[in-house]
Amino acid sequence: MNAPPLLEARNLQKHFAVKGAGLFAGRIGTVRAVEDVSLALAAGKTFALVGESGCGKTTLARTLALLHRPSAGAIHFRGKEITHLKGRQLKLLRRDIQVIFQDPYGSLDPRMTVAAIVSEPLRIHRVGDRRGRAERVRELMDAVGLSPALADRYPHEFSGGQRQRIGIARALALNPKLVIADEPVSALDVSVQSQVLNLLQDLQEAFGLTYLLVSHDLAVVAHMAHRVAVMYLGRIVETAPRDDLFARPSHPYTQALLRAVPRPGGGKRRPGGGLGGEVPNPLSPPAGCPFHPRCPRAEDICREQLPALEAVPGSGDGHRAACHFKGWE
Amino acid sequence: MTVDSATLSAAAAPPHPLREFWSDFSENKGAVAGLVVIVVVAFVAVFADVLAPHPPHEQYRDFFLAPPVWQEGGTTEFLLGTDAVGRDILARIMHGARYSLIIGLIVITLSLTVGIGLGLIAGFFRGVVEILIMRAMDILLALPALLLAIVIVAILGPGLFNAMLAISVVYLPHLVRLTRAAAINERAKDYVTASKVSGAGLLRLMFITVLPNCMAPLIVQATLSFSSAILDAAALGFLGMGAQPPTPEWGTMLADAREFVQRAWWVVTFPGLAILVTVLALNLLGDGLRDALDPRLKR
Repeated sequence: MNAPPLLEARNLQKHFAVKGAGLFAGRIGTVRAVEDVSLALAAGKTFALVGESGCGKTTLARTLALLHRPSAGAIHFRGKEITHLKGRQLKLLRRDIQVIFQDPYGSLDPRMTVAAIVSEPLRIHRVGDRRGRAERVRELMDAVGLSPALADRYPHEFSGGQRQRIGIARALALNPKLVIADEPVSALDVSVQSQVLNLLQDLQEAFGLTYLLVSHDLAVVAHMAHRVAVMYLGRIVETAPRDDLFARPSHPYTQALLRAVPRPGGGKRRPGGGLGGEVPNPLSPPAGCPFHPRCPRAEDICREQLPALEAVPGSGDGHRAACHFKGWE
Repeated sequence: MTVDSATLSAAAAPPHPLREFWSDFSENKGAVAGLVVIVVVAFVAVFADVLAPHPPHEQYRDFFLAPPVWQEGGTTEFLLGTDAVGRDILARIMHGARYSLIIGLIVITLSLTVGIGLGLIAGFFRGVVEILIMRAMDILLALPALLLAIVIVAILGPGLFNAMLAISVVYLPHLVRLTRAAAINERAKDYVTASKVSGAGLLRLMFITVLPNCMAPLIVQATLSFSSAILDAAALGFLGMGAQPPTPEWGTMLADAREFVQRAWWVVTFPGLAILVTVLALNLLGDGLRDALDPRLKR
């Protein structure tokens, strides 16, 4: 973590206004989808965001891709602030930050051929001439393991895994530095998942890509990530290098998540129960630590004071958790 | 991975989208019949000058209200008879096909262009702009269609072109609403976000990414409105607010023949039949298009 980070977010917030129905309805609430998140992505590494559905990980990823405007906070990319970029400069930045989507069916334009989809970023940025772009499409399809002979087919003629490869090829068209992968494999069959994950790893090595991987699947995260951040209700509750996090989870939520991983073979479950209760309504998050209503360790202080994200005593480099009673149980 | 790309290229290439569309479309016999009728009408309209047995405005003084050929007193010279001033009805119907098709085309082009524009704007710029556009459309929808057309023609003055303008305005709200709904629906999909991530500007998103995916319902609505446009134009013509005599427009022909209904049934029947057959064919065609283009209706 000595080299300057490729992308850095400081105290990022994204709130959504919830409006009532009708012409003259006012705002009836605010969803705090992302709340005071700071993180740094090291170049060439994979940073994983994990959490339950609704915890704000997708919103955070889309905010970092500047698809949402953050409500507060700042995003820096290669040392330059990009939070408020507009117009031409934003378009230029789009070359460096690309996205891979979750749904391989909805993320490809059904009326475009594969060649048109993969070369669309090139056309938008006026890269190369017609022949050069066709050449680049062949290169990219080759790189993601699709036969370039399929370039004139339409997306509906492909399987889910192949479609995801098309999406990956499109994301790589402009030689981006950072690729934000939002649940890239969760819509795929398990057998295809590992193929796509290995492809992503190969491409990372080949092109020196940095990944921000959003996933709810701890197996995927364990396979891919160099560093992991666990989100709960819009906040990062624990962040650590992968091995540290899986060996010594120190936030009770992370511990519960790890316990909840199903194990084949029907052996005994790890000691300690899973999580009870529901994720609180993000319209009215609980006071104090947002996790306290479901936390087995909760005490009075948890109901009143929001714990800061601080270094875990006795643990390695860069392991931080937001808990009053953090530590390996 | 080489395995499954190899199997895919080995499999027979799936049919071209147009071919697939045609195989879906031709399953519907009514739609094919409609298409045939429309092609015939279009052919007649284009070559009316050659095909028609007489010029449409020529008055034959010796043959006022001559009956059609199979009735007593009819002659082979005027197959469908003549009208009150001795003009050949068949020739006038053939030339009238021209007007009807042109009216339909212009009305649809006008309202489709404006409707798609307004609908996309409403779908992309939520908020005040959307409210303004959609409430204006609601007001247009609150007035009975023909009444609204009459009001507009009354303001602009009678005439074929003003009638077409008026009918275009009448059909606008449906197209705006359809476009807006489809645009909002498509805009939420990831492929639009992907275009945005690639750096696509607003115009590209509107017209290149979203619009082609909204076209299926619009094509269907346009085809169905085509027939209503012909009907409304005929109605305006009948009321004396559309095409003016002696233009051989079908509605105007009906209006001219009003007083002779009792004595000479053919002067109203044939223009009426022409309207009926054309509109019916267009409706069948529109239904067939909808079935073939809308994936939700596919079996």
